[in-house]
Amino acid sequence: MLTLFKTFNLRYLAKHKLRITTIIFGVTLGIIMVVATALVNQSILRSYHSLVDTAAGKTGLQVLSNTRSGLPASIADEVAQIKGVKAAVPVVRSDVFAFINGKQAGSLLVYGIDRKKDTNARSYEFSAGRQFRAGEPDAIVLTKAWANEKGLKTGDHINITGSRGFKEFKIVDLLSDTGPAHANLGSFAIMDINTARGLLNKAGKIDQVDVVLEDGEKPNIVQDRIKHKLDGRAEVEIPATRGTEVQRSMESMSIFLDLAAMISIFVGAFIIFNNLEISVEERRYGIGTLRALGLPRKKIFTLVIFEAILLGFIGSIFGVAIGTLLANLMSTAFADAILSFERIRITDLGVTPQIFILGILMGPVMAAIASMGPAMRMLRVAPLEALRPFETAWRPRPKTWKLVVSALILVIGVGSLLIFVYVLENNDKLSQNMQLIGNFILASIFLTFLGSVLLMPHLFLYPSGSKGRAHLPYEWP
Amino acid sequence: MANKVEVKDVFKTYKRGKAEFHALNGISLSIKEGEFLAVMGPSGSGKSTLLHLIGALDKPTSGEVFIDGVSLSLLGDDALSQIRREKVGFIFQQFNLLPTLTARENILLPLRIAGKSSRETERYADEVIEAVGLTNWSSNLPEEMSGGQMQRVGIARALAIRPSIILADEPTGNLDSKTSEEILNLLKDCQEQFKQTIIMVIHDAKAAAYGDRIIRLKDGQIDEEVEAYSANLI
Repeated sequence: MLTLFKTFNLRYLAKHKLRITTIIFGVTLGIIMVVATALVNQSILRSYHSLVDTAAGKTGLQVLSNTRSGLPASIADEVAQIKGVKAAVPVVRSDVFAFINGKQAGSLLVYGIDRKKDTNARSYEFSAGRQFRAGEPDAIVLTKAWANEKGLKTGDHINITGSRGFKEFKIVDLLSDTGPAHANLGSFAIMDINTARGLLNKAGKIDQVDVVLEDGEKPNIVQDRIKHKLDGRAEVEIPATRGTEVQRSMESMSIFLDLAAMISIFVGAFIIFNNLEISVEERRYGIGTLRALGLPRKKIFTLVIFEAILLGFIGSIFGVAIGTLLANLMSTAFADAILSFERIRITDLGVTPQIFILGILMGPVMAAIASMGPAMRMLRVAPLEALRPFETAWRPRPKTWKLVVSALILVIGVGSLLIFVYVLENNDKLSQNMQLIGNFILASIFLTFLGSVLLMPHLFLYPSGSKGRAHLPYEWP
Repeated sequence: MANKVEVKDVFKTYKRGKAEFHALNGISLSIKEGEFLAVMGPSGSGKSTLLHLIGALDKPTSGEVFIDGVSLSLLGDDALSQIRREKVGFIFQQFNLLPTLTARENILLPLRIAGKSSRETERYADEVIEAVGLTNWSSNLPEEMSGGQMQRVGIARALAIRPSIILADEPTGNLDSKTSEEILNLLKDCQEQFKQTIIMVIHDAKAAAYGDRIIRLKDGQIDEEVEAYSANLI
């Protein structure tokens, strides 16, 4: 069977590179969006969780600023007085850029903490050196993972950009790979709260208060008390709820991504289906010969399906690779859109085994499903088909209505795209409605794709002047 | 000698729309093992249809075809495929070579389909290639060969699996007289050396004379049947 596959199938594939490339492209197109969508969704959520969960520690509630200027530092003391609050831990928080020896070393999430109070909310495990002292102006503690990655150790110096330009810090200690050290996927640092205020120009301000609740207190009840006390001066949220809200935003974004993935799978499947149909029809005469020489139906079926699976597999490999690259581009944009306030950085875009297996399996499955129709049709090819000279072998009869509908869809797709671009250039109001633009462009592209894919068999399968044969093919009873 | 092939009261009707065409009209025929039968007749007389039915390439509308005493109408696709690949070697008028395969690969195709491609079987196939005079052309693609060479490939392919029945549909139809004679001699050798049963559809009376028996079809029925000694009279 393998020898037969090599001589009958692979030899044909080698001679029809354009068709094979188109089929692989069809599979790749579908897989790209599926992989990219899965990766983007996964990485945003994972990044968010790593920030919220690990940095929040034992925090039951968070009091957050509802303006960009931050909260007055005194608000922590106010919150600490409220019934059910065990501790109110002030935090100054910001994303900064780090420089080592004058070269940019990436971004860091910096927490300015009150050493004494912060232990109520988070448990730090220091691995070397000494911890910074309260008010120490140039001391920073990095995570061990980040420091190792950058080749830094205790005692080294690092420059941080703040609101007042560069400031040099000495690495006085490193956080072991537990608890808060996982925050922001390890790109995390702590310093004294007053040092952070100085660096970030936030004198007398804080960014949030992490609230640790008394044992047995229900977060939503204490939340209501704090809200009542603060009377709209700040937002009060449950960290897990914030995760859910983000997840909800992500779900709506996911619908958009899933739709795009669905369309690309649909278009990809059409491309595969049409091209496999053509490639199988082209071999009807050869298949008839194989049947006449004694190849049973089920082996014909296996040859067709196996060929589709092979092409699907190749398409999958490209799809997973390109999908991962696309996810890198998309993630930052989507993270900005969903989580602009949280300023999540997407740093973890690794392909998980699940996504890899999904991507790799989906192509062959997609191709196998798309090849079912042509393969089933080939089962009905009678061995007698081999006796027809190739030139007079049966071809499917082209249907005029299909040609007209296909052409119409293509014209509508291309036409609407052109009209939309023209209207967009001349209508400022419309150009501001990004959602409408996105939807319309997506629909136009989809129609263009669909029209071209439907037209494909008319261009390749039915040569010009061919009306198909008037008689039916030989069909094996 | 036992009957290798038996055709009993076979009808074959093709329908095209409302029109019906009766290719075979209740034909009955017995062919003995090792016999060389030539089938003649005008176009549309049912010669090729008869060959297709005996070769399990098609099914009769009614009646039965037996090979080695087994009725083909009782068999499913797998069993019919097995008969085609193990018992029958088909020589097509249009050669029916796969264009992407070399001459040798085309010849080895039935062995590969039957899963019998081994050193021994391939050695035999190479002997057949030599016998049909294709040794120097075995690695050529069909498009690089003449009609005569392609027909030799077709014959070698039919012989490679050592079938007990060889069905030849106008095997010399596209060949010059010298090549035709070589091909007919080769078929005669197959009959004499390997006791293969040969059924050959042919237009040319001179070529038909290679058969032990000649039948002439007309309107889907046997119109005339003669033994070889009187072939020159046809």
